[in-house]
Amino acid sequence: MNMKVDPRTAVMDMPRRDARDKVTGRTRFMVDMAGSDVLRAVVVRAGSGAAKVLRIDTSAAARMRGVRGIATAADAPQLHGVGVMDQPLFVRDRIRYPGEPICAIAADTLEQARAAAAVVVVETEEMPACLTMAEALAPGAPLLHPDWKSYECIVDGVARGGNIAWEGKVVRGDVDAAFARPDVSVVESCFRVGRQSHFPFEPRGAVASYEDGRFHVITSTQVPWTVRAVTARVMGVHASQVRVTVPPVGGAFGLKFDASIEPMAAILAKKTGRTVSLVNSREEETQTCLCRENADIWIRSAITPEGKIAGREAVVLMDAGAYGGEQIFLSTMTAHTLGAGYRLESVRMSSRVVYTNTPPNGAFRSCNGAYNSFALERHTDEICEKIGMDPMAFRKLNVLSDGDPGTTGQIFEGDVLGPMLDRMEALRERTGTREHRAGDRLYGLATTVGTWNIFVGPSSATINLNADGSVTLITASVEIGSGSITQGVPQIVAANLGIHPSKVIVKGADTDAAGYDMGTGGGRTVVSMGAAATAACEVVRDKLLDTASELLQTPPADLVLRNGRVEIRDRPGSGTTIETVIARAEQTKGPISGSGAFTAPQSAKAMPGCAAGHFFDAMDLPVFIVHEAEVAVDPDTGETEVLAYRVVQDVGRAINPRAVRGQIQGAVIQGIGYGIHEAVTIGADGGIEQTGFETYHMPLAQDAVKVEIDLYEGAPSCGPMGTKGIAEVAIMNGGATMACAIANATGKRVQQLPLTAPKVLALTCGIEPVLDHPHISRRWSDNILR
Amino acid sequence: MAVEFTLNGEWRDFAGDPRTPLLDVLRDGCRMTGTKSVCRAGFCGACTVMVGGEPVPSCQRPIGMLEGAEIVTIEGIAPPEELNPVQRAFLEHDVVQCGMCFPGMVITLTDFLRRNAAPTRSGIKEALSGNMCRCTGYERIIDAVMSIRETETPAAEAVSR
Amino acid sequence: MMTWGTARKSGISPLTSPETVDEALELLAGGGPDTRAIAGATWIMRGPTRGEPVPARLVALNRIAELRGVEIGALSGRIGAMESHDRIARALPEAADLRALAVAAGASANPGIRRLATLGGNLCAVGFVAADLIPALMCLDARVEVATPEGRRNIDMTEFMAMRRAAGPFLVVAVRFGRSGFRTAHARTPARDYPVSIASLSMATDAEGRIADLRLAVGAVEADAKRWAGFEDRARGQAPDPAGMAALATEFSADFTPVSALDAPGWYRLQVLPVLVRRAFEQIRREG
Repeated sequence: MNMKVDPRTAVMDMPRRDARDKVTGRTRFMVDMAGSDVLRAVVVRAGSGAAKVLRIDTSAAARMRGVRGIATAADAPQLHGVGVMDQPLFVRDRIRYPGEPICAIAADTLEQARAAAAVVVVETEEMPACLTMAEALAPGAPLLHPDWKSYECIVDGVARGGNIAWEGKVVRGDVDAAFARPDVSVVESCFRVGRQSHFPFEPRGAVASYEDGRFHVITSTQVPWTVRAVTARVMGVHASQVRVTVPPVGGAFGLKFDASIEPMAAILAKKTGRTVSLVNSREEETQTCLCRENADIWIRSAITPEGKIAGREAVVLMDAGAYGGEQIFLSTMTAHTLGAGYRLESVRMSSRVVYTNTPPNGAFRSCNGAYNSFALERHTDEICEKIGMDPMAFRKLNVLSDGDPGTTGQIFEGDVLGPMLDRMEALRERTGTREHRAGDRLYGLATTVGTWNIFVGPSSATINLNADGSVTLITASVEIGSGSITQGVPQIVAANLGIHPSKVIVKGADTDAAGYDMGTGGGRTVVSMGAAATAACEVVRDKLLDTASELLQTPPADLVLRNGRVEIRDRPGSGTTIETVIARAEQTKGPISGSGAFTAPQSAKAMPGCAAGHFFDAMDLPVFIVHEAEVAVDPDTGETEVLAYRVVQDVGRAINPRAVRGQIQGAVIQGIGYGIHEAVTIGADGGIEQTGFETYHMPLAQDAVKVEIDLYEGAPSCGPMGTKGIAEVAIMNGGATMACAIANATGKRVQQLPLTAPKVLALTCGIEPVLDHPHISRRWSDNILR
Repeated sequence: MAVEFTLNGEWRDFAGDPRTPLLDVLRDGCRMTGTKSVCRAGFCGACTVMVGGEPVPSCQRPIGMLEGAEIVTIEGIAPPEELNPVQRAFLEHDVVQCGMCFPGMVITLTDFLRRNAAPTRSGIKEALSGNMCRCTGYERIIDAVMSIRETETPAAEAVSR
Repeated sequence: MMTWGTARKSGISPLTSPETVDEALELLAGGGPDTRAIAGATWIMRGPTRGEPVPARLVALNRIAELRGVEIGALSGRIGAMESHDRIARALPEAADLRALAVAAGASANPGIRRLATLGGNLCAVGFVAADLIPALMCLDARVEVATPEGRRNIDMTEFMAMRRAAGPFLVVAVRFGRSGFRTAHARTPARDYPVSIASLSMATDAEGRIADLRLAVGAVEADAKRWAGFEDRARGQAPDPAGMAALATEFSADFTPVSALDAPGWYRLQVLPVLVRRAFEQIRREG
């Protein structure tokens, strides 16, 4: 039975259930779980980058006081990875990046574990290294993975080879013909971005034990099921032998979308027979952070005299670091971010994942979209400058609308971005501008658009009805701070069952209790888990109404769930309480529970043959943003002050508008951080130079600005009650908007992020070299593997 | 030689290495984990506690320097089962996200409001320059503080007892 | 994460809290090579993040009464080495000649660190390039009272900067400075947190409004802050015109060999220095 629930009943500013414990310090995060009965472990890490391993000797460490066990490569025989299984848990015959794990040691105390780590012998022989993508792509470059052909790959026939871990490409229409047109203006741009580090306040780590022949891993993760799979895989045991549970997570932002050191803790737990806590120190967390990757982008467009885009071609080089990791999957997103937003008559894009001897990168909120939107929007402004067109007029003319084909030929539904641009102008009208606050500094304003895809995918949920009228929601979704599983999904469940969300108990993620879920990230939880929970609601609702029908002598179709009661339609207050029905059902049919599942609806289709090497060809659930910033740039110091920031965001339906605004506020400041504050640099050994909060500069309270937000509702969505994911995409155009506004303020050609004060001063002083990307061929076809 | 100090009004002693940061004494020794260990360098403020009536980063305080000191942590900032006005405002404004920075935020802002009953937004931001937050983008925290300035006196007794 | 120096077995506690300067010097001299004095502890406790373990033995100075006190008289001032930035900022009276010091003490780092970090620690933290108090004290022509096992000495800031790397044990007891009719300013960038360039200025003008005397100290550009003698010599006798002074700073900025670090490259520290010089002169002009 698929009964329509009025989605408006789900809408409320429900406060967070976890806030009280969090502000009183009672919440126990993973890092708070190492009492005196728990062994403490450390990872021994490689001190240098590319090297051949001659000998690793842990025998002296094993004899040190307090040492209870050492996990080594011998304990983790299998490789793991995302798409391509290229990564060992511990170094074997070669070291590929500084900080790569050699082994892990558990001891009675942290000091003892560290003392033992200091006596592990690692003899190596230095090897030639590739520290940049240009070096890795140069002819004759040393190969990071000479055995790349032997690696297990989840699909056959993908273009990869040498230092190119993966290549995705998309070709639609005749791009050569577009550029050959005599009437087009050709605009070509080069961009480069550095890495962004997540800096979750809680670092990665795990507390593991081995009980009744199974591993129990308590971890700070977004992906319990991935941790389960990877932990089992590397050890070569069956996945059913691993249980993963997740307490509240102290910040993640995509960093915790991969298994990291959990398998090491599991191995140590088995070897010692004790509970083991293994947590990254802040220095380790910073220097092995699976950052948003650095990237080099070349993009060229052919623009018609009317200002339309006849052809576009691009090459995106994504630095994977030493192992493919998430970048392999994320290469797909180039088509849907750099290739998104605008109507393109023809297009071709190559998205290449390149191995370098640097720490592996990973996923970070809006992933490669955050820099592809920077490249796209700066390129768009460069087009406008070249053809002399107003940037807003160009965008209004060219943004995708109902029925337009996207880069992979997918037909877009609904006219969303155009009206959102109008709404941005209206928002600006309402709030006014703050040019007067720039004083004698350089004032700039920029408006940008962005597109992201909600990673809908498999989720499952179970709902148990309790005798007291409450319900227990059992899922593997994780509370990472976004509120999706503690606010959004319970609100959906409550609306479906006619109860208040406070009556929905949310069980913490546990792979022994809940069914499979792809993970908490990508803006997917309210959509996918919300849909799975809705399906579960339908099951329990049918059972409820069935029993109630007997009790009330009324056909189920005439019954509704409302205010904690089963009522006869159109007769408020009639019927009986939900508790009565539950009690009755327990006696007649057994307790009521139900499960539901969801996965991508596969309704969005790409044009056949357009895309290759993609994990998905069409976006299941596109989501759009329009960002606008006003900045003041100090021409003397290069410092940028954000005077105002406005957001119009496509949210589908905001079921908790206050929480949505809170996510947008936080994401925008993180995006501004990406744009103007946060810099990761790679040293001469290939390692990350920053070690912690002293050297990595995140926005402080004084850097924040109150974001003016207009929630755009009503765009098409496959999400339950018309919802879309909101927390992921909200960061996406922070970098783009900072870059465009600073370019507008300074009149300079902004080609790189981050735009820290020294970078901006170098630009305004004219001492910043022009970026030309000699390692990217101007003949597009040279940039694909054949 | 053990170091003696009061923790949330109760005498305690610590007999380990006197160089141990107060932060680790609280978390590992006393198993009071409300004080969060994040940057361990005095930048983030997540480990802020009251020492002798002043909010300071506990990662920067060797316990050996705290003989006789009065220490109040997030666990002691308000009576059990009660919230102080800053905590209440954070709940009412739905400010919290991941939550790791909030114990430190509460300590810093409780003390700040005791000294500055009617602060400006920029004054609050300056006071928070040593309390970083990666999730919220700060402004809602400022909104929450603005909502209680002047209207109530924060629980100063709990801080200075 | 904490990493500890070893050598706990010597019988001396890893942290001692002497009550007199002499006792502290004795502990420092007898503690062995890995012994350090700690004042506010904010530089040493975050050492592990720089790859420097916390020393094996710490001599804590917080119980020494002689190292306390902010005493500002009409003719002179004295600040004890153990006074924190926060205490100094709150204790200094509103006065043109103390303005640079007040700004330096009140704007550095963050409030929590300002409550801990001391004057003595700021003076002695070799390697801490971003120290705010040092250039401000240079502008006051402050003298540093240093205690060594051989006795006490009062030395000027320049001499102190040279001796602070000395091998032998010493303690800073206090700084002293004369009050003057000079006007002072402390300009830094960025304005909050830790600076990557500092210009501290104190200046007196003659009847015609020309610069009769001035001291300009530059911090966070080189490893150690220093008085900019070349600039001072050329600026004397000129009008304190901010743009002119900035031009002069630009002209002679080759006097510095800037350090490069993750927070800013050397060229940037130098490039913004004339701007800070200009701002310092502007502040003085504005505040009359």
